[in-house]
Amino acid sequence: MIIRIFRQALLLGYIFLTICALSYTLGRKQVPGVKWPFVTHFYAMMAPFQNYTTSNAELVAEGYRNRTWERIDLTNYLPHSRGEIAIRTRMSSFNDKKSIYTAMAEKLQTMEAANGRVYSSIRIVWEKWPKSQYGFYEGHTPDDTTRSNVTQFNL
Amino acid sequence: MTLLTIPLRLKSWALVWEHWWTRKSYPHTMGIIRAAFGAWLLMYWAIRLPYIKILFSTDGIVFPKIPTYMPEKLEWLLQVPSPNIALAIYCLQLIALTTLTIGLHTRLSAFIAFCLSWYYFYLSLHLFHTSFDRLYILVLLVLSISKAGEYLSIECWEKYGSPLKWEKMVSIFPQRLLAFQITMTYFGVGFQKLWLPGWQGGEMLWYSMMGVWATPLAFKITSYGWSDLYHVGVNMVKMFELFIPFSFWIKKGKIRWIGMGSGLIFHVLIDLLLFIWWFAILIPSYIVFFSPEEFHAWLIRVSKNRIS
Repeated sequence: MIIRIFRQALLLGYIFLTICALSYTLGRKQVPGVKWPFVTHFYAMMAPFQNYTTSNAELVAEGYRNRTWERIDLTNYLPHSRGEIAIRTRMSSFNDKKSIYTAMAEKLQTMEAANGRVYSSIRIVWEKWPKSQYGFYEGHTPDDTTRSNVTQFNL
Repeated sequence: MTLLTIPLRLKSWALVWEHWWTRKSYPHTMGIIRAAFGAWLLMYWAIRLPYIKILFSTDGIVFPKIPTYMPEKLEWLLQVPSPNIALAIYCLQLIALTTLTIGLHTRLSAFIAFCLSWYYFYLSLHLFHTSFDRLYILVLLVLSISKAGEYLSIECWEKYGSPLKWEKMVSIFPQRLLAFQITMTYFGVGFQKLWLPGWQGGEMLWYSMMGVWATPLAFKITSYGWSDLYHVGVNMVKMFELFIPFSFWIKKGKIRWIGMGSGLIFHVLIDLLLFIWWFAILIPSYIVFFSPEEFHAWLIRVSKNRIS
């Protein structure tokens, strides 16, 4: 009997949270009194691929040595597909993104130094360029690419 | 209907509800789901082996996220581990997924894999914040409360002499939970597209096929230029996703099969045009929409045909 009651309670709780998630997914309405962290997991299971952009963007890390900025190959430290790197480097889980990017730059400085590339500064930059129908980097030209500095870590 | 009949009606509805969600039935469906999901997750985790220290230890760029519901005393659990500890945790995850797949200590294996998947989510995967990682975690939790080791498992081999032999009927509850979740996932994903601003024209498809997820095939197609067919494509996607969650439950005619075929085409196209392959496991999971009795009868028919 206790197992039956427990199972039904579990089921009703699960259905309720799924309905809360559906309410937000379909109407952007949060059910009053239900804390978002309890719903977020259920919402995220039904909310992929909601929008698109007309430009491509990429997080770029650059290290300074011998009076020049050198591009650091991030795939050595983020061994994922291009899409996964793009999503991960948005750091969207964090409210204070700048401190996370600075920590990332500091970590990159240490890891690059361990590989024999000692940089006095590391800067993190977002590059953005218009999408092209011919390839991911086809629109990545000096004229069309905009750069926004995110953070810089100095030794 | 008089007032006196209301309690009787409520009771009969409660019985129908309980029968649908929790009756005892054949163990075959959940046994196959366990083996398929276990093997898929084993592959999903095993391909990270060369990078495990960079991905989940102090050797890499790892930023954990403490969930808001986590007590302060337990926050140490999500500290980034040293490389050796990270490797040990990863090995435990692989062992748990292996034993889950082959059906050895099934519930315990699923529960360990669930706990470790939760750990990895907040350690690192939260930055990718994907639907499929969350679905995988839910499936592992469901498997840990199921008796999915009662068919096609080492446990059956030990108890009955063959992994294909079975004796115990099991609760249909885990199967229903999975079916319900898959339905809700397609339902939410599909219906929101009716009014999401991004999904009102072919531009969604056009620009997605030039973005970070695009495959070489997608770029090959976009290189031919814009066409109104992209509008048709977006409407087809919406139709598929609106039709699929309902069709799975309709046994009349061939509707269920058409729905499953639509799901297959939909996922294969996603895999071909976008590097988003993680949802492909949903295709074999459609088996949860067949009742265990139906599936068992089908297995008997197949085995009889083989013998004859």
